[in-house]
Amino acid sequence: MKGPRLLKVATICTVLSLLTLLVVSCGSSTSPAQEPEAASSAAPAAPAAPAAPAPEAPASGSQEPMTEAEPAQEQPAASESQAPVPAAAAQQEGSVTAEPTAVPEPTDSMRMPEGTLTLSEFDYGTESWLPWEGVTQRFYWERVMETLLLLDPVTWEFKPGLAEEWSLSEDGQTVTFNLVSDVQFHGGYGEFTASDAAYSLDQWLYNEESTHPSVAAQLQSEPEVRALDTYTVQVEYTKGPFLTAFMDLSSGNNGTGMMSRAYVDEVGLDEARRQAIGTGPYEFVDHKLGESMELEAAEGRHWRIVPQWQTLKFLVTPEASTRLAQVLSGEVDIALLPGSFKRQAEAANVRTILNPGVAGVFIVPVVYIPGTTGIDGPNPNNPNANPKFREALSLAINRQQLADVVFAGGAVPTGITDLSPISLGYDSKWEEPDPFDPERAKQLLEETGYAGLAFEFQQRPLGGIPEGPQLAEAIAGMWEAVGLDVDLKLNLQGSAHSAQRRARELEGKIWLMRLGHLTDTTRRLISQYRCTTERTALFACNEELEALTPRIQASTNLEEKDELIRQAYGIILGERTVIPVVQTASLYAIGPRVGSWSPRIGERFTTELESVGHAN
Amino acid sequence: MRRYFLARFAQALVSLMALSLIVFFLARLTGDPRDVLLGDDYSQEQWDKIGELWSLDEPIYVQYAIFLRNAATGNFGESIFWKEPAVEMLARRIPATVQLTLTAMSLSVIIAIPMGVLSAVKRDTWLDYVGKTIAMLGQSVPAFWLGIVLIWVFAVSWQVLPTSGRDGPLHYVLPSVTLGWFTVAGLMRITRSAMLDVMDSEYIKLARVKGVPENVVIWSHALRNAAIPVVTFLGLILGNFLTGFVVVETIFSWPGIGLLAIRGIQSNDFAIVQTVVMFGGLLFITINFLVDILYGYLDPRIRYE
Repeated sequence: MKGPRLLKVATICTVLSLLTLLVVSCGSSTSPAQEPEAASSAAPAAPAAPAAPAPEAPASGSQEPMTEAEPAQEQPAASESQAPVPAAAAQQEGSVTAEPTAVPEPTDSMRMPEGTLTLSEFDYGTESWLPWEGVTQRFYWERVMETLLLLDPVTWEFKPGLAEEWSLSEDGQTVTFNLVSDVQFHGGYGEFTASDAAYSLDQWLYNEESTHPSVAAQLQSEPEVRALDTYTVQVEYTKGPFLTAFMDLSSGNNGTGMMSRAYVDEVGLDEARRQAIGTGPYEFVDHKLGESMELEAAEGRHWRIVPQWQTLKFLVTPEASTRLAQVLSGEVDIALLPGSFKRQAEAANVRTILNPGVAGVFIVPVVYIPGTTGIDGPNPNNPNANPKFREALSLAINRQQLADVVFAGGAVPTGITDLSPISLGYDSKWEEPDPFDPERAKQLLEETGYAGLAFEFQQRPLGGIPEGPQLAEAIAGMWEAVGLDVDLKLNLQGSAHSAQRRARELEGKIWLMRLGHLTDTTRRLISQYRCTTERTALFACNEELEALTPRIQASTNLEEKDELIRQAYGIILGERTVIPVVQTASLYAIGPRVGSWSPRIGERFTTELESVGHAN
Repeated sequence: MRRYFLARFAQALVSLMALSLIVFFLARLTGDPRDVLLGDDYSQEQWDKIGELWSLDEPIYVQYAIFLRNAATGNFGESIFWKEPAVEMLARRIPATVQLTLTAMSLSVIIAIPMGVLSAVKRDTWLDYVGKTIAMLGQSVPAFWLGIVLIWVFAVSWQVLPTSGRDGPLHYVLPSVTLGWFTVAGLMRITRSAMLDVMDSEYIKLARVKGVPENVVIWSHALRNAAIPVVTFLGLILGNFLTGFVVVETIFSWPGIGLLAIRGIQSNDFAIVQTVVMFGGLLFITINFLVDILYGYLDPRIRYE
């Protein structure tokens, strides 16, 4: 009778374990000891006040300070064409397309922060609090750590942040920031000074883990960072001018947050990666890696802005349907959804905001692979080298249908790539895509003798765009409808593609790609659009571009560089060197507790959280 | 029994070696990880630096030896994405997955075994039909669909349970039901069919002829003899659950091993993926070993063979 007894005991044990588990789990929400991932929720002990940095010799060079009142001289020329909202991003029925509004300045009559704003997103990148580790993490560290300059979401101009004045030397090699005084770090880590700014900038530029693309571009000019006195920090590009330094060091889509040097010295970078100390409107409270983050409005009145919500909570929710359900159930106030959820959210009567311009999806006909043709330039027999063939490819694509059907309204047709309204060389006229004109496409194919042409169309996984395969299938179908013979390769993995690249087998093939926008595209122009570069596959090899790119690289005048880049993209887009298809969009589902809010245009994640209003 | 134990242990060790080979070579079959990590725009210096860091330019057998040496000391490298040792990240996720597994398993055992037994004993009655219907639905309704439907009914429409996360006892309900639903169905079917076989056997008839009470015949004699396939199934399911049920953990944002694995895959984090796969394989081998030992106890014929 041992067997039956064993089974009875097993059954009893199972029931007991179930009960025990429930009891244990009751305590799990309140006991930090059971959550090893949780960083300490208590603020670190206040250290001794850091010593003021020793002043260093001021750098030479004539520098005119540029203040809030006169920033346009050193910015990409803000022309009428630089409308902040892309023309194609028309307001969608049943939802709101993001339109920027000014971040409110603190006033005495402003309501004090109250309540908890809960946000839910797919993930939070590397979840590192070190600003240089990753590109997309800025939206949460910006709450805790501030940048030297702020980007105005209305005018796209830079405003004072932790730097009240800033200037660029005439030779374009030296940037000087004059810092605000009496700004205190959280947790008693003392006043923000040039020592902290120099340390933060130096780490951003030279830390081995620094991964931001703008850093790689700056390093070519070998920047040196120094604190001149308590409130002045300077960056000198020793190997040549770097005209977009303000953008790439300070704010906008790039730039780094200011960390407390005393804090990092005390705890080390590993600890600072998991818990941040800054000067921002919110203080770090808690972070469970891969689960959630919690921030509290900084104690006392913040020097720059009064946030509207006392607590910010960020939840990691990988499944989009669950994120929508979180908003509907009232657990979450703002959830980031794929653009393709637009109709589903509207059907559930959820308020939505569509934020276009997150990333560009475009087609690349590979024109030229150096060293493979045996001649100095593209193979004339490669159809991709013929602008008329590329125009036919573009005219055959019904972009509106792709946006409406493949992305379910969560993307907008576009005629532009690489550039956003804050980029050098941007011109809003390029937002208008080529028309859908299959008859003209057929005619061009007949004229060029490429009717019925067979070619390989490669779709590689498009980061953050799960609709990639469907998009490629739809485009291939449209090309076949005008008589082309498309050999579609779906989900071609990176290593398979790279093997072809190294074997120099990509000429004549066509790719579907996704790239984000850059403030300064100089490096991309050199690496992708020049014949003489050491690349294994090129988007173009064009004499005019070949002449322009060295001038862009050498330019020491921002307005001139802006114009030269505009000319370069005029050629690239005019000759359909790349064929833009759509701009993907972020879709935010908004809960009933949220009042007014305007996220920064073109940002994938939630931004401008300090200005999220309460409903009534 | 000792010989039986040693034989099974040796088999487990061989399986472990085979597992290490599969994990190592499958990871390499996908190509050079640098292709994925560095994207389109990299310098030769970056290429060489990562190669040196991961010994990617060494001969393949040297790489395997390094992998084995590190694996033996529990070193599966640092997560490229999160900059933390992969083993530590896995260890932090184990409690969440174990808690969900135990809850779901308990739920399954408590519901499925009695229902399976009753379904077999009350064959072709309404009880049997109800059991068979539940089994059919359980096996045919996919977890991703069930999970989302449960969220919409209980969290959105009725607002009686939370949608996701792991903050308190109520958060266990929906993921446990979703995870346990499939197991209830499978366990019930297996229990029912095993019981039907056993109930027709001579020794059950003999027990009845001897006047043993029917409850004792069913729950003591029959169920014990029907337990072997049930235990096998539970062992496999336990292994599945403990390696993290990717779908359920993703839908309910449950911070367990499955969610870690999927994040590792999405971010091309080889260290995380390798660690999770090795852990899963090791767990399966251990559970199979323990189930083999349990067989020996449950059925004397096995240990005397």
